[in-house]
Amino acid sequence: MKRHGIGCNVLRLFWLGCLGVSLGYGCSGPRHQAVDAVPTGTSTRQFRNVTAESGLGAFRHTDGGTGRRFFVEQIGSGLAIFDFDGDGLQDVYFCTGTALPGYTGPAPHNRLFRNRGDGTFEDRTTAAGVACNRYSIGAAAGDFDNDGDIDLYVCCFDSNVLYRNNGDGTFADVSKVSGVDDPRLSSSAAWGDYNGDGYLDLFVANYVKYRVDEDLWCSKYEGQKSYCGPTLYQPERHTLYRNNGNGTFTDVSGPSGVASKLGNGLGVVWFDFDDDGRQDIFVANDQTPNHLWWNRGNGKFQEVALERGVAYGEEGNARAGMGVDAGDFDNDGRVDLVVTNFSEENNAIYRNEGAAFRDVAFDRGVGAETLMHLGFGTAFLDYDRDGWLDLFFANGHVMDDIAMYSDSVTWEQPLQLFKNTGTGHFREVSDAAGVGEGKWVARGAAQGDLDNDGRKDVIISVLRGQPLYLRNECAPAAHWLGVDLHPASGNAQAIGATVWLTANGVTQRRDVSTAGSFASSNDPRPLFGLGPVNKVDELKIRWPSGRVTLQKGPALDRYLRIDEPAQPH
Amino acid sequence: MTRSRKLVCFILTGVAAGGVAFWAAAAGPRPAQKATDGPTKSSIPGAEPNPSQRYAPDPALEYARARAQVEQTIAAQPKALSLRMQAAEFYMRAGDHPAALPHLRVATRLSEDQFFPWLALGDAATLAGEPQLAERAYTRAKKLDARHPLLFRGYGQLLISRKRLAEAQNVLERGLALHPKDVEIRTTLGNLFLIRNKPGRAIEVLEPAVKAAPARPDLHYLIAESYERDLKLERAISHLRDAVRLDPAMDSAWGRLGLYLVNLTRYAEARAPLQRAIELRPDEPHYHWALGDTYLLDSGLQNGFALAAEAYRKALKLSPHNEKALYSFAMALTRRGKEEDLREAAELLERLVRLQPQDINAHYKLAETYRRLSRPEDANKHLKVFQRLSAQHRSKLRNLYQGAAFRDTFEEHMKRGREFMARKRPDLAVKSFEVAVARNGKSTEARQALARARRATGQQTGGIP
Repeated sequence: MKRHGIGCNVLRLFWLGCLGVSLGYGCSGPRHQAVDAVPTGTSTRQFRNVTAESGLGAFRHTDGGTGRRFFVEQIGSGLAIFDFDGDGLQDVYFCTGTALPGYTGPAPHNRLFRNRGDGTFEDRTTAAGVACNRYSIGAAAGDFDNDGDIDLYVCCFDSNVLYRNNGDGTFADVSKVSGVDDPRLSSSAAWGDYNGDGYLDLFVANYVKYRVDEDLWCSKYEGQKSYCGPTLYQPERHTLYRNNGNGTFTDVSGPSGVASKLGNGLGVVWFDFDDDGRQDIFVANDQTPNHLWWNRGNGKFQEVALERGVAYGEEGNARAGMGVDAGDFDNDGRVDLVVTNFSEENNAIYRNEGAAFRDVAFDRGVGAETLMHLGFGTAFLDYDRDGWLDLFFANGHVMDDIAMYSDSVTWEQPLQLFKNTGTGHFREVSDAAGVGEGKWVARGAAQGDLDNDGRKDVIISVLRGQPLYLRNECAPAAHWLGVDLHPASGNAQAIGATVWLTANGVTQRRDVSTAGSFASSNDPRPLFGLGPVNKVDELKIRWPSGRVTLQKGPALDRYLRIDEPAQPH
Repeated sequence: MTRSRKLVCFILTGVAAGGVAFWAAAAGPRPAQKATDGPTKSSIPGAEPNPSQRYAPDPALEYARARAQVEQTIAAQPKALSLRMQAAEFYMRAGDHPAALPHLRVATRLSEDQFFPWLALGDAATLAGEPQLAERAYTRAKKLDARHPLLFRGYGQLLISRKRLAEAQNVLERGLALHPKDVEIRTTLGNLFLIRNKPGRAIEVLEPAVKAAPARPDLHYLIAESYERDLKLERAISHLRDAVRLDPAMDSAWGRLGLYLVNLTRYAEARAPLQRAIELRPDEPHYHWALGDTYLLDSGLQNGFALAAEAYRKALKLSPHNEKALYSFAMALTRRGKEEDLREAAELLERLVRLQPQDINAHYKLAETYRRLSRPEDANKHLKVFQRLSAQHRSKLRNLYQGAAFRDTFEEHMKRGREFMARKRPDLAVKSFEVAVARNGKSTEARQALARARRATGQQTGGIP
């Protein structure tokens, strides 16, 4: 029941035509004006694994385990794509676990790779001082002190770490002095300005109350330990830190209401679901209902996931939420959500219908297709630049002994890519796009344009393995526009801004955020695909300050720097 | 769709196993049987045909004629033991177990010192629901041949039918220790393990049976269910393919094959088996429901909704209370989401919650559907029920999980090892003590306990080979 009527079929056929015989970008569709009759290229394999040649293969994740299967091992880690040295090129930071009891291997640590700009990366971990040396799970990049360079927060199975970027290629550990050294088992964090004071606040998703010396034994087979699920441990409260604007933060979880509900948090995004200009928060919880924290504008949040239809899956089951991303996949102006779940639970596409959300995954072609996979990292990204957000899933099971329990679900799983066919429906193109080759125990995934060519690349963190760098090499003929926002004040990345691009009668929306996926941080620059459309009518920007600016007819196929005017329009 | 992908595992009553084993032994090699002749009842409710349905093309008439002929023959020679036994066999094969009893009572009077008539009387009485008579018959049979494999199987089956499951397991395991190659005991024991929700143990005892009797479709069917419940769906499917190859008329095997393929999201592949099951049993609503799901869930179909709706309507026509069809159809309608769809979905879901007031999913969908229909009061009513039931469910689940887990410490593993030793399960104790040694290699106590358990394992007798 994924497609109804003839329209979708036509679009689907047209897309196939796009690939094969260069009929044009029918999916977003030339309608009125300004359309190039350009070929769309001949390559059907949009992504290429360039891990080895890039140098990123030098990193290897470890879960710190020795076969005892400590609960924390299965979580894996994520990564951050951010420009740490301000050279305009996105760099990469990988998290890894460290030694657990009994571990005797070389001491693992997180690693920072600087983008050289020629497709290769160099390790700058030691020089930058960001090795961390703690059991690291997630990373979140954000300019918390508004000094113009991007800082880094690391979620740990230990006290969390905040690295302040010194602006000279080095970082300083300011965890304690800033007050964000959350000691809980944290998975993901996200930066967003909930009170509109111009400083980025920090939301930390915590997982469960866990200590290694209280590790539990779970097994179906006597003598053979398996990883336990999170429901065996007490769920945690999540943490909201208010940025005081002076380098310190205050834990406002209690007064804001965020501490009023517990959950097994794994993924988190800030987004403005009701378009009131205030940043709300969604937390994907593992086997406990998801949270949707509605920002009431007075420093308070109200948890409305059930009323708004995002607490559970389509049938009312609390699922194993892992990763989340927010984006307007159907170009209706409202921000929707994608949430990855456990195997035998489909990934959810929560369509924002105004009053509430509704899980339309089965209806939109992402239901049955994701049922047998266990998703972690995820991204809404317009990989083919046709103006419609596509979907990426990084999959991998949590149980390394799953073969003992099932002969139809595997530990290593293929990555998945779904093409948005132009009506908010999706079609899996993993194999054709070069994403479906091989199987991995994937965890975090981050998106970013690492070579500034207007195509979103993806980097995936693999449990106990090398990462994967999938460079987007889709046909270059489609037009695009990247936006590099520079606020007059506030955080350097313009996190919290919204950009609407109108071209050829279609308005696309991008919300500026580094959050999303699982335990990862993304390149925040909004990137719009235009297909054959060669003229943008209007670019509307709502800045984090609340100001709105308009830009008419910008030049295409580039990153456009836009500075927020000092005075309101 | 989580719900539709999960088979409801009904408790098997296992009433058939006792009878057929004896008749197979008495009457020589048996022909391929329908699943319903086999050791398990179909897990699909309503899938059991009544006896009169077994004789096509006019089963009732055919059966009446045959029965008259049998009784006429007996009347001519009332004291012929072999005829009495054949008559009983006829009724047993027809599933008319009570009708076999008079003949077997006579047979036991005609030959009080023969084992088989008593055994057969025990089997027939078990199947006819006369446990006291069965108990007496088996007691007599036991005096004549206490070690006969069919006696273990038959008596075990009687205990199963009386829900004395632990005793049944004990009897059957003792029987298997004496007759490790006996397929019937293995079949009954495997069935019992399924009843006790131990599919892994069922597989252990059934695998050798399937190897010994690879041409028996009922065994493939039973082990397929075991694998499915052990989450080994590919292997389950493989055995069901064997079952339908051996007996193409086994509708329940076709049906399950289709359902398992649906579980694996192989919807297109699931359709042919389900359509075959429907050809064989057009009156079985579950097959129509499952076929509907293959259309509903298949994103590659253009007209999936219409086909699914048609299948669900057929299922509901056959059985207006079919919960799966009610739910799946409601889901389909809410997905399409036109106002008339939502109204119809609400009606279906209301029917479902009348049948199943504790159905969490149905209350959730009702709340959502009423919200979409702008009926907030109705939505809130069901949302509250949903919240209450959902909290109860989560709490129950949590307790269940926590009851099965324990601290991974040296002390806990030692404690478990000792408990296993006390329960005379040194094989399991070995595993616990091995982990204890791994946790604390310096512990002399653990090493000694492990050595003792290993020695005891070598001496262990009476277990399942």
